Amino acid sequence: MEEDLKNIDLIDKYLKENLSASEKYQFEQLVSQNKKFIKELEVYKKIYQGIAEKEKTELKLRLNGYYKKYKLDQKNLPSHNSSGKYRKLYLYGGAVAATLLIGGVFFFLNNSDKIRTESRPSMVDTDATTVKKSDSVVRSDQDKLTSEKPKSEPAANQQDESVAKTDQNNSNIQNDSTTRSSVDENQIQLAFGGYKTLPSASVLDYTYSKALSYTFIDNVITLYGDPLMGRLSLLSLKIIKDQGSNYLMNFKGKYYTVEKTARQKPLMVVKERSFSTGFATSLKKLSKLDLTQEKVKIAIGSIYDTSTNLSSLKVRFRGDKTLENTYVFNSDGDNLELIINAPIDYEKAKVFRIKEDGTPFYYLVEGDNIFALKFESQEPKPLIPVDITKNRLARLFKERQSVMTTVYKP
Amino acid sequence: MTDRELLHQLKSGNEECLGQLYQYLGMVKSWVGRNNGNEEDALDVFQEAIIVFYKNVMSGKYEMKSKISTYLFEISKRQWLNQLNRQKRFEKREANVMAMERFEEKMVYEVTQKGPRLKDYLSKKMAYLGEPCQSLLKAAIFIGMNMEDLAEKFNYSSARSASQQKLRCLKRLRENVSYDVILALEQ
Repeated sequence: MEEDLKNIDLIDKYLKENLSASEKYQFEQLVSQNKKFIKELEVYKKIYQGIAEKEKTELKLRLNGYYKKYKLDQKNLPSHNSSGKYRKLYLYGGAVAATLLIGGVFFFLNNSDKIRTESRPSMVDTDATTVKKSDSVVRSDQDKLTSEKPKSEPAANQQDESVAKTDQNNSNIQNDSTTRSSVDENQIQLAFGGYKTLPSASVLDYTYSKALSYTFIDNVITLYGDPLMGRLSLLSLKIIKDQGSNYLMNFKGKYYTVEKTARQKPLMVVKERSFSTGFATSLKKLSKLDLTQEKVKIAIGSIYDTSTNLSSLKVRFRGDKTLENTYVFNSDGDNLELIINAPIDYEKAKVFRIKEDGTPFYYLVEGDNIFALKFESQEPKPLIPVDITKNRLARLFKERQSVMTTVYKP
Repeated sequence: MTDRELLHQLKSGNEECLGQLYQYLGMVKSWVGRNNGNEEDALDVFQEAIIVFYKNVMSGKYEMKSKISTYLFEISKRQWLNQLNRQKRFEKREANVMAMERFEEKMVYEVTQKGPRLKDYLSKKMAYLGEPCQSLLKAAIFIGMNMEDLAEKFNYSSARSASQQKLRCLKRLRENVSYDVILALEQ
C-alpha cells in the first residue's frame, strides 16, 4: 500500500474506533512523532464530520419528501376521513358489504344460469369448463389476435425507427443496414437497463463563427452568428434601398450589402468608396433618410434551425434520484458516449456540440435550463446550470425576438 | 409491507420505502405529547429515529429482535428524553448567567450561522469528486457500511479493493481541501 494511503487507512480506522492493537501502536507513534500526521488527522476529522452532516441533512430532506408522499398516499385511500379504530371498522364493514354484494350477484347469476341450462339440457355436456378447438367463438378471437399482431408491431416501433429512417434519407444507406443498426441500438438499450437514450435528432452539432451571415427570403432577413448581438443593436439596424432596388444594411456604423437569398451568405462590408457618389453622400446623413412603405422583419437565426445531427455522440439518461446530478463522457475510440444522471425531461432535452475555432464545447439544454458539459474529464462531474451572463456560447440557446423595421430610401 | 419485506427493500437500495415507516409516527406523537412536547418535536425525534434505524440496517448492525415499530418507538423515546435533559441543563445554566452574557452569546451564534458551513464546504468538494467516489464515501462514512457490502454494492472484486478505492477517494477529497479553511469552518 502506498505510504499516504496507509496513513489515511490508520486515520480512517481511528475515527471509526476500529484500530487493532498493532495499528493502535503505529497510530500513537505517528501522533507523537509526526506533526504533519496530526494536521492530517485534524483535517480528516473535519472531513468526516462534514460528510456525516451533509449526508444527514440531505437524508432529512429526502425523508420529508417521503413523508409528504406517504401522507398523500394515505389521503388517496378511500376512507381517509376516518381514523384509528373507526377506520378499521369502516374497512371491515366495507369488506362485509362487498362480500354480501358479490355473493348476491353470484347467487343470482348461478340461479339464472341454472334456469337457462335446465331448459336446454342437451347443452350441459359441452359447457364452458373445457374449451374445444371447434368452439367457433374462441377460434375467431384467436384469428383476430394473430392477424392484428403484425400490424400493431410496426406501429409501436415506428417512433424508434423514424430516426433511423431520416438517417437513411440523409445518407442513402441501404435498407437492411439501417434496420440492423436500429436493432443494435435496441440491444444496447437492453444492456444498459434503466438508461434512456436521447433520440439522435436531439443530439446536434453547430459551428459558431463570429462573422455574421444572413438569409433574405420574402421580407424576412435572418441573421446568424454572434450571440453577443443584443436587442438594442438589432433595433439600431437600418435597411436602406436605393433606386436600383439594392438593399443595404447599416449596422453598428458599417454598411453591408444584402440581397435576396435562401442560402446563408456571409455579410460583406461595403466600402463607402465603392458607392455611387449620389448614394454615398446621402448615406452620410443617415438622419436625413426618408421612410418608404416597405417593411422588413429582422430575425435572429436560432441555433435550433441551423445545427445538424451529430451521430458520433450517443446520449443516455439515467434518473437515479439517490445520486447527485452528474454527467460523464465515455469514449471508445470513434464513438463518444455521454451519460447524464439527472431527472431531466429527455423528451425536451437536447445536447449540442458547438464548435468554435475547431474546439468543441458541449451543452445540455432542457427548456430554460442550460448546462455546460466539460468534455476534457472522463470522470463524473456535477451538472451545474450555466450562468448565461458569463458563458458566451450559452447565449446562443436563448430565443431572440424578431424586429420589424421600415426600409429607408436615400 | 411486512418488516421483512421492508428490510429487504432497503438493503436492495430502495430508500424511498422509508416513507412507509411514518405509519408508526402516531404513537410517537401521542407519547411525546404526553411528555411536554408538541407534534413538531415528535416529528423531529421520529425522523432521527428513522435515520438511526436506516444506518443500522445498512451497516448490518440492526438485528431483527423486535418489531420495527417497537424499535423506532424506543429510539424516539430515548431521543426525546435526552433532549428534555439537555433542555433542563441548559435552563439551569441559563438562570445563572447574566443577561448581558446571554445576549453576547446569541450574537456570536448568529454570526457563525451566517458564515460558510462545514457541510456546505464538503458538499461542494464532494460534488467535484464525482461518482463513484461520492456515493462510496457516503456509504462508508455516513452509513457506515462494511467493506464486504460496499464491494457488493459498488461491484468491486473484494472487500480489500473496495477499501483501497475508498482510501483513494478520500485522498483525492483531501487534496482538494485546504487545512486552514476547513479547520476554520463551524459545524
